[in-house]
Amino acid sequence: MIKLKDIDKYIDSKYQRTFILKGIDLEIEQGEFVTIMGPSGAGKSTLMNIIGMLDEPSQGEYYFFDEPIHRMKERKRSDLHKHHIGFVFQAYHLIDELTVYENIETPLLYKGVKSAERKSLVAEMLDRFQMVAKKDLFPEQLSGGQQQLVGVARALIGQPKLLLADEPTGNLHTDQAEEIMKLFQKLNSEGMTIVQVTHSKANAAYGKRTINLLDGAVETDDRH
Amino acid sequence: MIKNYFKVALRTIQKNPGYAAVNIFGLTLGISSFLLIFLVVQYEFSFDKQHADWQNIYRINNELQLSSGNYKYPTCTSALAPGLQQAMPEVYDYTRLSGGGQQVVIEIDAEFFKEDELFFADKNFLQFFDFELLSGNPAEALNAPNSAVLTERAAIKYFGTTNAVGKTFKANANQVTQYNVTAVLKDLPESSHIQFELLFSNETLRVNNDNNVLFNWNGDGYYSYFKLKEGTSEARVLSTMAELKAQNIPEDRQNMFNPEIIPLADIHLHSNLRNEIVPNGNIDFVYIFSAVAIFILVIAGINYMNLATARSAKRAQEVGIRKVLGAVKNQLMTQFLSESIILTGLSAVLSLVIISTLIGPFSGFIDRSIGWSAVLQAPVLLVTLLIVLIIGFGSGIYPAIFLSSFRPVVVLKSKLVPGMGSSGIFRKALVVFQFAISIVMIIGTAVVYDQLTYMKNKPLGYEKENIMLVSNTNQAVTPQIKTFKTELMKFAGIESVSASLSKPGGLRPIIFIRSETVVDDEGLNLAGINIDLDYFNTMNIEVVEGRNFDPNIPTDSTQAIIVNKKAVQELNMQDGAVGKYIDVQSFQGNWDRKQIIGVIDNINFEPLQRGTESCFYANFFPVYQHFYIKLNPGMVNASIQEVERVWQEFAPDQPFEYSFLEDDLNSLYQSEEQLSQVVIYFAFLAVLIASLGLFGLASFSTEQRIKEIGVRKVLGASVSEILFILSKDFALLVVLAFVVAAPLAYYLADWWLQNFAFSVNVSVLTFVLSGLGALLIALLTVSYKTLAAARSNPVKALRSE
Ligand SMILES: Nc1ncnc2c1ncn2[C@@H]1O[C@H](COP(=O)(O)OP(=O)(O)O)[C@@H](O)[C@H]1O
Ligand SMILES: [Mg+2]
Repeated sequence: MIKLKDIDKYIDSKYQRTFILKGIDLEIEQGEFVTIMGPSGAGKSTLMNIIGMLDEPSQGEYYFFDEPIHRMKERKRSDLHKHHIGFVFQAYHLIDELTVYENIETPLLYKGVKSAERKSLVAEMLDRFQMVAKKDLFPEQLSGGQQQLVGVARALIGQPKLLLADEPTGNLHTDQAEEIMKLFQKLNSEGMTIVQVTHSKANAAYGKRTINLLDGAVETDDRH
Repeated sequence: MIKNYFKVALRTIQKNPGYAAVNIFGLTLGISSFLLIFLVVQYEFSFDKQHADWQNIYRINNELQLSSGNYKYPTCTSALAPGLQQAMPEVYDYTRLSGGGQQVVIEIDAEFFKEDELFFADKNFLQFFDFELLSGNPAEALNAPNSAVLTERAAIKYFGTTNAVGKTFKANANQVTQYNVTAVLKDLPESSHIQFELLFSNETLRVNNDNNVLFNWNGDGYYSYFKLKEGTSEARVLSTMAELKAQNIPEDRQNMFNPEIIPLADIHLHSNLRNEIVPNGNIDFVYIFSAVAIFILVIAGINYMNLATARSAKRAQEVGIRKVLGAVKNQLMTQFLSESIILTGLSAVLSLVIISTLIGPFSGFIDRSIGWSAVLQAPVLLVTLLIVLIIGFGSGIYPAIFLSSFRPVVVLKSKLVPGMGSSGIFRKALVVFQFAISIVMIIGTAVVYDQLTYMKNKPLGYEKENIMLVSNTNQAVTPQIKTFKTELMKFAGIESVSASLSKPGGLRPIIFIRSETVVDDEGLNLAGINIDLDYFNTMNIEVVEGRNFDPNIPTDSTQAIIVNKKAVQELNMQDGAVGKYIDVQSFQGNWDRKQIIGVIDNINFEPLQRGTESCFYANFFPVYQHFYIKLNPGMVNASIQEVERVWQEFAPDQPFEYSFLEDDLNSLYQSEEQLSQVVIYFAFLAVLIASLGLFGLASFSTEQRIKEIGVRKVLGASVSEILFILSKDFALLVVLAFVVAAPLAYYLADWWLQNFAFSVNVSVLTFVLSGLGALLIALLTVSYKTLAAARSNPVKALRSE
């Protein structure tokens, strides 16, 4: 599904080139549940953003379902991103001005989904996450765990093939974190490909493969 | 999707009420001001366009080219318009009004009315112009001698009904005659430079006087209008008039006959001659108003732009999220643009409501009458729509582009937003621009106000306080002037009584003179002011050389004259004018020898827009329009009653009308007064709107610096030091704005003051005070936010990270 070949990401300043990622080779198959770990500043988020097509590598090749992303125009790439990838953030990143319902609905608007279909899709999602009663609340009226549930719901509403979660539980209590992890596990068992970043060994245990990143390079890659 | 943009926009407004309120308030002020002025300007340009043929109609003006200067009048000889039509078939119609400025007394069933808004009009007047008739036949109403056409208002005043056709009344126009009402007009629209309550037929003059009066190459006093076939050049009309001049005007009157033409639609704003039917508008005011309107709108637009961009620190996150969720740049731009269009639209709707209620009083304030119904007409609605689009797009596009171009990875990662530090050069430039405009308006207001005060207080060389002016309607008291004056003088509150044909600031005749001291005295003339011998005493005018008039010297009322210093110069009599003789042309054309007995200073008889004229004072003939009565300031009310009593005794069938000289003089500066008031209000609004924007910016920028403030406080900075650091940047912007504004303001003030022969000097102090005023306002505005920030608890600010 994902094939990264010798990916570099660097930043050029006047006299020197700083590498954030260097020589990343990585393949991820459909249905995997991958955890990326590593110290702060290792380049985990950068890698996630490249996989999620929010950022471009400086060098190297990226194939998504065998399509060469690195040769695509911005427009096409953002189309792919929009249709196949869902993002979950550490800071939830919900839109304050929108209700739970509207936050979940937003990706569908950008996908151009018709109103009636939107309604049923959002209703289904609310039902599945047991948030029907909260649909008219604003993010500030929810607890952190609830907000992240909305974040996950929003990432899933577009029926993506790939779910990217960058420290999704970083701001949550352990029991809330557990709930999210169980949810991910369930999604994965239903066939969803998931890549998550976390600092917690416990969370990593929910996945089937752990990649350790150090100074922009893959240090270990274990399946379990 | 569109629906969603609107929903999100409304939600954003709802969720940020303070931000929205500042924006809507500012925009509403801006749009309301603009629309109010737009209505007025539109009204000013609508004058005289109610006539179907307005584009083909011209008026003939005439210029007298005299030794003392050129004088242009809106009237000409009676023969010119008909002569022009005969000479040139392209002039396919003409009509004339004459006899303006006279006062008649109308008698209906032993009831008397004074009327001075009247004309004699040609037969075709009601067909030439399209004034609406209530009853009567426009083709015939003015055909017969002694026909009268009334306005609705006059008909109700005289007869108590608009059904006046067929009724008769007596009037002493020329001689007491009976007139038949042949038509009643709807009240004339206010947006017409032609105004009257009563028309008599010109045919009346033909019958009463000799036949030639309506086709005479001598004389003057005919407001003449003609229609010119489309496509005919104005130059052809002028050259034809030059030929007519050569054929018909004798050598010695050539300088009195220099006709010009002016398109009907230009009269209101571009013609400001002596003897206009009613005081006209002024294109300069229209320019000033328009500039003010545009300024205010621009300031309001900039506010929006600035606040929206300043807020982008927060919006950036949202942009990042939306991009991650699949939004493309266009969609985000559309979102931000719909937001600004909705805000502007809301403000526009509010503005329409506001101006509907304000336009009545506002237009009344500047002597116009524009009703609220004018608001809901196509032009205003179109302009409003245009404003919404222009401000909505214009000030929305920059924040929209700015915001939608954020890269999600960048904005989501850090709280720092690219290019969003307090160093946004573009935003600072906008603030400078706003304040520059505000400062120009403040200085402009100050200059207009200075000039006005100057004109009202400039010593005129005569007394204007406590001088009561009584109209000598129909010369009613003239034959008994001596006993009338004696009777008045008996009353303790009356200090002095005099009479004159003219009144300061009003009209005065130009009199031709001859003098041996002037080599070429052909066409030599002075303004001649007809007075009685107590005039200088009453008006407290000092005779600086020679002596004042003396009623005990019999020749003083027949051949003595007093001149002003300017006349002495013109007469080449610098070596001593007193005792010298000049010849003065009487109205009958004879030359009468007069002796100069005294000289006075150059007092300002004319309004101060014009310079002092060379003039002389004499008691030529017993015709007086006004009595000048000096009152004891302690007994004004009692004296007015006494004057009225005496008036009733001497002229029981004439209306008693009076005013005070000071008020009359001040009314000469009414339009300047109105201008200054209006400019003051709008300058205030401009400053208010600009301050509003500054306030918004101050709150954002202090918010951004809250951590820096915390650190500084921990390091020991005092509240006042922090205050200084925070205010310094804003102060600098205002100083910069002043540097931009000062030259522009100077240039504009200079341009405007050129309208006045006597004007104030633009003082440095005005500029300095205006600049300081703006600075103070700016600092006070931001101080609310900066003080709060400077006083805040540093620990809290630092912990929040
Ligand atoms: N746009 C950027 N400019 C400069 N440095 C960056 C940029 N993005 C990331 N970095 C740097 O690259 C390194 C890796 O960042 P990141 O991928 O966020 O690490 P992680 O998520 O593993 O903590 C960090 O040292 C970070 O400072
Ligand atoms: Mg990270």
